[in-house]
Amino acid sequence: MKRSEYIAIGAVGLLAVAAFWPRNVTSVGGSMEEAIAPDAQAFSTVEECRMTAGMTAEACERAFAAAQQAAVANAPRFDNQTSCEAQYGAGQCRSSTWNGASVFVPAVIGMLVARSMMNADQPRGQPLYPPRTGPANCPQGASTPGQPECASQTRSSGGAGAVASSGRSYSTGGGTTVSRAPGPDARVRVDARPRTSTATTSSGTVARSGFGSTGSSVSSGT
Amino acid sequence: MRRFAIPERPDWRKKAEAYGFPFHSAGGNVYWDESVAWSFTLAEIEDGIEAPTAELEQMCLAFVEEALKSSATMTKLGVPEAFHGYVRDSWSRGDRNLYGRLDLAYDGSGPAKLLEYNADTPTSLFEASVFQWSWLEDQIAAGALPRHADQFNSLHERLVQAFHELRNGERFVLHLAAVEDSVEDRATVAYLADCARQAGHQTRELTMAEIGVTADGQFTGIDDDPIGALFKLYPWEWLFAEDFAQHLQRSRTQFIEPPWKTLLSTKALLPLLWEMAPNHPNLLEARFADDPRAAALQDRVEKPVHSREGANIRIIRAAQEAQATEGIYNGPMVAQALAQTASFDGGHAIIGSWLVASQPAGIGIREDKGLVTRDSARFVPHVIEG
Repeated sequence: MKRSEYIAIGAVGLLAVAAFWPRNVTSVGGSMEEAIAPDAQAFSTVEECRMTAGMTAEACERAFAAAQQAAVANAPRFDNQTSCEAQYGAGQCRSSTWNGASVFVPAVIGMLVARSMMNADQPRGQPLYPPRTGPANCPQGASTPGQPECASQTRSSGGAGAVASSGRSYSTGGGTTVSRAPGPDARVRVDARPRTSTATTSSGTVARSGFGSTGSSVSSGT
Repeated sequence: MRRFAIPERPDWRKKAEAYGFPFHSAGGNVYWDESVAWSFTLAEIEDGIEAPTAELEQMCLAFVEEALKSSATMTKLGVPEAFHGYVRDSWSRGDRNLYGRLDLAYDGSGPAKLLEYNADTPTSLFEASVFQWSWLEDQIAAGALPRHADQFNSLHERLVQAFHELRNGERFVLHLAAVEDSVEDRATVAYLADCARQAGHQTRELTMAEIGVTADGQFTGIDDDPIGALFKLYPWEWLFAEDFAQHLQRSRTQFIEPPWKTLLSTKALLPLLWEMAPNHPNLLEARFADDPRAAALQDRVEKPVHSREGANIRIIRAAQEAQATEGIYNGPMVAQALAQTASFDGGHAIIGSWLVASQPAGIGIREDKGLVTRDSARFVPHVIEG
């Protein structure tokens, strides 16, 4: 039957797509789920990756390089350092260039790897940024109950090597806060879903009619 | 592959109206024509159309991969330099595409040939997906077609599934925008909005001109609601030239079709594809019009890189102009070898072969009197028998 068949959709780039696009503030039923693969692992360094991920050093390096490369496109981008640091904390942002424009983005402090979603030859690393915290409610070194992203920053001295950053928190490009579950396997635990849609908080509309002038008199379809 | 006369359903106009399907063309001609239909064998559909469609799409995706590496090529494809990075990012991020339509010359006797790729803003979707399908069901029920009759058309199911997969199963609010004045475009958008809702998303329709922007470059809808995802039935080459283009890179709005589709929705694709895969059985020789080899094509079609609805096209036979259409488009031209299309007394038919999420999804056939398929074309249903 050619008019109803099994429908298959390619699985290319699942993780990257899901992480990049901002969650909608008004999503259906209030559930705002960023896809974090169940086997996702978070690493702060290539060395950690090599020791825990069951990947070769070379594969870890490639994944890290891919994460770094994706960072500017993936990261929330800000016009100035102050607004970036308001989200990510003092000293957590760096300047960069985005399509010729000068922008500020949070620094990459790790990468997320999900082996179920990658090609063995080309491990994809998704960049991880500092957890998004307002400076006022999450001072450096503070341990605040109910705010795992704050609390976890004080628990980074637990052991040696790969276990050192167990419990460390990160945020994804999509704004989800994740942390490493305790234990040696670097598995990721989702701590907090984003509250707002993107780093660019929406204020009022300041202009309309900036699109549509070319096609006001003709059909756009082909 | 044959064309045959078949009695019309007595109530099809009423059904079209119930669907809100505008079955008259802008010029007032009847656009939906079910007094005739085309019949295919399963082998013609699967080997003659479906497989080449899948292969052409893979070729096009490979082409995009290569084109993005060269600023010169992107410029040739009509992307302003300021947006090269924006287009590249949409590809490297893996932005999903929803749909597209390859226009093919095919008459059942030789390989299908690509005439052009409507990769960005294809219309004639509802009639292919829904109205053609209901025609088949009705005609089987009425006994006018055999019970085993089938149709190459899984468009609707695939569209719903593709909307579902746009963000990996996540549900979101989708804005859909078209130009205000085109009834046809708004019907296409209304249909796609319906598919998106069936996939679980919320939808909000608006016109292109109603899109707003905040001080920090976030696109907004009519109620100042942020636009996180926007289906736009509006070509990228127009968007890039308009005022709000300056906000695109900062907006974090997911566009559907994604920016990288602009590389395929220009006829500049045709000579570049030919260069990449010369003599491919599903391609026609094509050259940029200023290439000396263009004039060597004795029987050829000259068309502007960006034109719509068959406007500004010249047909040259034995080095003499045989037909020309008027229109408002100018700019660079391409020349393409004249294809053999399915013909019948007084006209020809071209196959619109649909892709949904880059997979073959069905066909719609349009007939016109001359060799150029214009907005005077009629949509004719098809059936698979045997």
